[in-house]
Amino acid sequence: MNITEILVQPQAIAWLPWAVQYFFYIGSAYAAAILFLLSYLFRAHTSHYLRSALVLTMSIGAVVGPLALTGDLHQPGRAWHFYSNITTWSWMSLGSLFLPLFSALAILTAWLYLRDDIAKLKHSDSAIAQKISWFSLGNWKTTSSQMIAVTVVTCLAGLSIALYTGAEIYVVQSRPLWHQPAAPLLWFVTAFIGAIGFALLLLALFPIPAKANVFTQSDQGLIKRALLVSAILAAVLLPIWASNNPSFSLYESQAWLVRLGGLAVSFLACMGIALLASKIALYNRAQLLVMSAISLLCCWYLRWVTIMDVQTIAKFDQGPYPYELPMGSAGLLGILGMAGLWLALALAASEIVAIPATPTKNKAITKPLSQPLTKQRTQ
Amino acid sequence: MDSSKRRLMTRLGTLTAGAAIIPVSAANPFTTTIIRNNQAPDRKGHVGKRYAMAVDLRKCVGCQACTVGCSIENQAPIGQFRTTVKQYEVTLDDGSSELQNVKSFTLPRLCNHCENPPCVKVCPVQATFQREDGIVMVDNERCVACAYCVQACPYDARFINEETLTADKCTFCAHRLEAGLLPACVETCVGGARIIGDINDPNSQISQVMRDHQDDIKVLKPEENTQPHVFYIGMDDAFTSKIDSNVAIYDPAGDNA
Repeated sequence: MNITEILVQPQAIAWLPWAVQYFFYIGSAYAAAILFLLSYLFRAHTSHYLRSALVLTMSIGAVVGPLALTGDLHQPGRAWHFYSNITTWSWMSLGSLFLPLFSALAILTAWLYLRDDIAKLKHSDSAIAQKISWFSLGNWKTTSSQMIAVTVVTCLAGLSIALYTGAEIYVVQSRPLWHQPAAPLLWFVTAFIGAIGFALLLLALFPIPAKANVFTQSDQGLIKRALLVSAILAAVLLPIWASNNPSFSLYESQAWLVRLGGLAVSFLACMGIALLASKIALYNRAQLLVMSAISLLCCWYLRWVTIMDVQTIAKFDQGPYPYELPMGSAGLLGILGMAGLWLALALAASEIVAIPATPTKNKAITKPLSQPLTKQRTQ
Repeated sequence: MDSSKRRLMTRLGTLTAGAAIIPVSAANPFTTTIIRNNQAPDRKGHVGKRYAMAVDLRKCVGCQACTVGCSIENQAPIGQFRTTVKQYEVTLDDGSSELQNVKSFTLPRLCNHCENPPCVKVCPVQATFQREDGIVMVDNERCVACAYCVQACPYDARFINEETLTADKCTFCAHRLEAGLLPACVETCVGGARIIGDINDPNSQISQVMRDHQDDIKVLKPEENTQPHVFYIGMDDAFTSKIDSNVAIYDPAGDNA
């Protein structure tokens, strides 16, 4: 039987690019929480710069992400309905409880970690910076046990975000590409690529002089392993994910081959820059920016393909339903706006992190920069 | 789709439709708990009834009078529809003499008011609910328009209304049923293809029609376990689940436009 569609109403895209932005920023935030915990546990080996970049990636993502999420509601003014109608059997409703908890904890963790740096601002020449130093709220010292306790709780809250965002889409049985374990796993593993991407961008924004010897071997190891493991796992998961579409084979569609090919290339690129990570001991802003751009693009494009492009697949008819990125706030402007907000917060926050006036020009890459703010074992 | 899979789906279709005709309360034990969100007294509807629709495809000529009637009655924005009639061109390739005979097939689509509605259980604010009489409704003053229900519906029966900016869908014209009127689509159908009624009442017209055609009743996507309550009479198995067809009406890549 040959069937040709004559009159079929295409279904409009229901989850807008805002959803991709949310998954992008909140994913980087929860992955950064985990990486920050690791870097803090091994704080004798990692640099204050990397830890600051990770803690800021976590807290900025935890602020920007929820804003993007309210944008995805067509009725953002009704967001409070989530709290007046708590629905325990809906993952999205559970998420509305988990999300503010995670955001608050992420900000608390970042504040606790950067308190010493904030307090140092009172020696600054700028009047505004001196006022910001009040936010350290006293001269008491944050103990490492306080720091670890709060970070562990934040990590657990971050995992609740990973769980709910994955489960929320996994339960949508009507879309086989979402209703499979590979989908939430893909988002989880690539979240680490996004976290490293944002952390590298923050490192590039820090006012560190060029060629300063800032990164320890452990810093490089953390960046390298996080990128390499995530990219390899993602490269394994992608074909599994793409094969689980019983209604038609993605591999027979030229458009989908281009998307899957693009993702495969981006995973390979991440593996490439992971190997490059062992060569970043001396501060090189351009190198950090290139590495950051590649990993961010990889993380973002995976979310675009798995969330937006999947929605163009028709549930009943042949499709694909047409989608063109609008230029306005529901499209390009929203994407740029959220990126701009992230960057603005990152630029402001990067001023907080204390950078010594005379950076060490030590050629021995194993030696970390002397840390005036945190006790560090000199190797 | 290979023929064995299609045969399986056919059997599934017959099974599920059959199960739905007999007492509807016996939900499939293998599905998860059914959520209706209808504890509030104003969400009960006609307790004791179970509204359903039978669509006799042999009588549908694809005139879209139902589409227009619904649009006038429910004032959906231009270009958005609570019900519409999909139209397909069908030729046979089985080597029979009918080979060159081009037929048209029309498929009226609307909300299936499923007994196990996937849209209701995902709603994070319980804005969408199913009344005791089976009608799935949206409280659009509570809806936050997260579009989760739009994603969950396997039938593309829901949409975000561009004017109200909330989830919108067919309500079987509940406001008309309450006034003793037929839904707009049933009222306007020129061929009398759409029959609505209470399947709990053995003497209703829909119960009689479904008894008369019980071997020829199919539902859409029976494999989803949603137990749809829009029953089609005279439908080929090729149209029950995802249709293996050629695109003609639009092509984003522009090749066949």
